[in-house]
Amino acid sequence: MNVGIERKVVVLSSIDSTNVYALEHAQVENWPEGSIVMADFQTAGRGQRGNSWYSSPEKNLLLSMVYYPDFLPFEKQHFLHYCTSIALQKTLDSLSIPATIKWPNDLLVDDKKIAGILIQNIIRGQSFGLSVIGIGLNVNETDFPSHLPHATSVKRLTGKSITPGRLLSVLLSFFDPAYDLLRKGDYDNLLRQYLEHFYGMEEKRSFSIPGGKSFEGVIRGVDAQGRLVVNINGEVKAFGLKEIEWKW
Amino acid sequence: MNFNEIMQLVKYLNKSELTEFKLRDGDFELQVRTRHFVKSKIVATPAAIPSAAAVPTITEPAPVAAAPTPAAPAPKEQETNNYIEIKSPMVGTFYRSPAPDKPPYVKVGDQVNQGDTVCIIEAMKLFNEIEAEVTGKIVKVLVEDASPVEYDQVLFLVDPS
Repeated sequence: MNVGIERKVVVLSSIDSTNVYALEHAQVENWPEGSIVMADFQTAGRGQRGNSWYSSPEKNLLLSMVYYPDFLPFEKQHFLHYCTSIALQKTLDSLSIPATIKWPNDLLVDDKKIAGILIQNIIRGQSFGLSVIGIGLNVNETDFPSHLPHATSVKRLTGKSITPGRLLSVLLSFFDPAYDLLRKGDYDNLLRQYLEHFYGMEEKRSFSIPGGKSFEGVIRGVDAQGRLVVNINGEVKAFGLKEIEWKW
Repeated sequence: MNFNEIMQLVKYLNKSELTEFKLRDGDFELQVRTRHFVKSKIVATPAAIPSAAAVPTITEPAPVAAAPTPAAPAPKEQETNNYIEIKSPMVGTFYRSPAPDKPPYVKVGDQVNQGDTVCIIEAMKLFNEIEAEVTGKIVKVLVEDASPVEYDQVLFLVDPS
């Protein structure tokens, strides 16, 4: 499906969050699938619940994409992360930046975060009424505040400035085929692509149980529910999001 | 009536526009309510059809509820049974507000309308805003903020009257 011709693009000069704008307007105004809200300047880009996404004006690619995945079963919803992570990984790869996907949905280069994803859905009855996929990609940012020591950007890695908007078409050219696979239910294909550049795959990493002990294990991928699979001293275990924490 | 006859009747009713069908023959009583019944009218929920009334859905119409009730007439409406349950559609973490520093979407006593967001269920870092499918007043919030919920767990009780 080619949604590129039909999609609506909204550029906001200043707004709390592109996600919030999309959530408030997409359904009421019947935006076509694939529509986009972009911000040149994001005052309060949201990370996950309270962790605000740091951004200076016009330096980064901050956008929200609007989809209506009413075909997607709830138990496969993590594949929305997979589609988005895959698209971001490929976008960076096209700039010769070797990024990896850190479970579940961060993009890392040399252990530093370069992009993040925030997906907000509206559930109507037993299906998705709307999915707003928020993306923050550090492009020209070079000075990160001290509370973000593990951050990097395209410019930091390549030494070149690039207009954030130019990366948009590249990102979409990778997201659209991934979303088509999701629509077709080709989960195996998406899973394979997601794990192709998976952070720490087959390597030993340190973790901790939230509020509990630390341990080491070899990352083996993810299971059908999207849980992280880790081999701990020969015992293979799957961890849900609230059951394990990464240690830097 | 035997089982096959009842099933034939249910099939027929399912295709018809009828919302409710009652048959009484001596001490045998049969009451059937179709999905049209659920959509057009929400009543006290006798034990026989909780799923139909509790979880009205848009995509999957509530199944036809065949409720053969031997002898006894339909149960009297009870106030406590008048409430509609809003259930969790998935496994995840229940959040009452859009962000930690924001007020809850709904609290006890609030009027909710169909389509209003009542909570967020987070699953694998996906934040799912759950829309109410009923209109009424919130009478109870059954889950603590930021606690894990199971599929089909009751989150809110709504008084539709």
